[in-house]
Amino acid sequence: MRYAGEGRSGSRLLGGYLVLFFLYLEAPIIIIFLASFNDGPTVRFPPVGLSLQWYEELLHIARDGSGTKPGLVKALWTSAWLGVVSMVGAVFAGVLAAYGIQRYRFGGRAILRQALLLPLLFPQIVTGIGLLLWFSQVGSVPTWARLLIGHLIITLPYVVVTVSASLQTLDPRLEEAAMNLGANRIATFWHITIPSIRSGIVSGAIFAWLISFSNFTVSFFLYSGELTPLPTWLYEYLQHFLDPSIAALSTLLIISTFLVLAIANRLFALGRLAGLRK
Amino acid sequence: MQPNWTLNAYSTLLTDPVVLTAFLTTLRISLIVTAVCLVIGYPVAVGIARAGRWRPFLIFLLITPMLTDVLIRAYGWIVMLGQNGLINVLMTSLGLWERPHQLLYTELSVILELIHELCPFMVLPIASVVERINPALREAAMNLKAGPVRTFLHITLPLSIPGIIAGTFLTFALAMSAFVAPLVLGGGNVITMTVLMRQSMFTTLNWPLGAAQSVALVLLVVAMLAVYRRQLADTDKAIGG
Repeated sequence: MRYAGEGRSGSRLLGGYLVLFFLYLEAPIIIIFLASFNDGPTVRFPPVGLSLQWYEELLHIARDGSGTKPGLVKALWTSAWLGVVSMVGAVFAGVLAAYGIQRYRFGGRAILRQALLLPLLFPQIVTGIGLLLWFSQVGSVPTWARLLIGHLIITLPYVVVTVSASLQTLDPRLEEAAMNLGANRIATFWHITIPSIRSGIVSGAIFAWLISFSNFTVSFFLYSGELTPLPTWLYEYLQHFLDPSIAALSTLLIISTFLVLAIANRLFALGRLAGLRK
Repeated sequence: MQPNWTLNAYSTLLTDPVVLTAFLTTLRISLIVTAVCLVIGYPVAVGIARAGRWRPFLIFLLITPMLTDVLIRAYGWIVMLGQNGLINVLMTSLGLWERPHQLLYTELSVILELIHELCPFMVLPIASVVERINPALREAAMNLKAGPVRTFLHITLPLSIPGIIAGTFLTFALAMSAFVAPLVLGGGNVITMTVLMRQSMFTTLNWPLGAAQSVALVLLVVAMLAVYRRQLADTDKAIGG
């Protein structure tokens, strides 16, 4: 169907522009992908040949080989557990917070809701600096606890948002029906509410993990040499080396992120919540 | 930290030329980034709003860069802007430049990265407003013999202004508070407010100044975001969506 209001040539022009724009938008990802298979000691264009040498180099780095920056595997591991623990914590606290705000009426409810969403509004550098100042006043807080608290603060709002959205679509009469049939509040919550808002919980959990795993700014102010999440490790690496093994690592990370999202989308139809699919 | 309450850090904030220069640099970068995002993003928003069954796919493409690690995106730009990078090779082989230019670690590289990073944040609010414009209005204009250009100028553009304001303020707020782009692509040559905040915390160890800068940045950003949210909320009321 053609819209009234613009000619066919107008639509074609717009379509061509969209193609160019999205090529531009995806360019860094495409370039990284190409660079990772580049044959040669530096990244150059056009690529001079196809090779897997940078994936081999990546293995060398992962084994803490000589002449490389050590700690890649440890950084991956740090980011992975930090992501999982933040995710579990944020889901636990976020589901309860969203349920309380959505289902109960109490004084200060609106303020509480805004306060929970505040970290979405604040520049992350301010969250990072604020935490650094606070931890220095509190005294000796171990690095893992600093990182975990920082990541909980930035992941919690995402869970609250997605779970609240799910709760809004859940008919409260379902829960009332369960209670009329003799279920207490906890049983109702466990058997009716939780299964009904499952997709909100899962997409909140995935967001939380992604946000934590890829966070740089907050970690940057809280990490230490012995506990370095992957993005901060990457930052330190890029201060000294610019070789294509990072392109190889990036390619693997991008592919695994999309695999996780695709599988989750398959299993839980996340798109409906994220507005990706109607 | 100082044991007493003073406003010294705030007076430094207002009088120190270094802080002022950093503020002006940040302001300049943010204004350029926001203007460019608006110009290249507006047609994209209209395209997405009218894309029909392609819309979900286009929105997916729009948010894929957001799902990629910031450091990885910055690395992609390092690769593209380097001496042997895509842009230098393209410009020299086309004969536009005689030799490769130093692009990396300049203000230009920070601006290029930020335009790329923030464009989706300009597109999404505008698209959400354009989507809700009643197609009957454009059909009516067309029936009244208005051409495509006039229809756009008199119907689509004026009705999308709330989206433009919302997107502009959101993009501007994010550009003002951007940290990774100036840190990694500025390479120490581009001192924005956030880079200066990092210096206060880690290099000069002037923590009260870092805290005062944080407060100033928060006030600035929260004010911008308040305008952004208000614009979108007003559209909701006006259109009843």
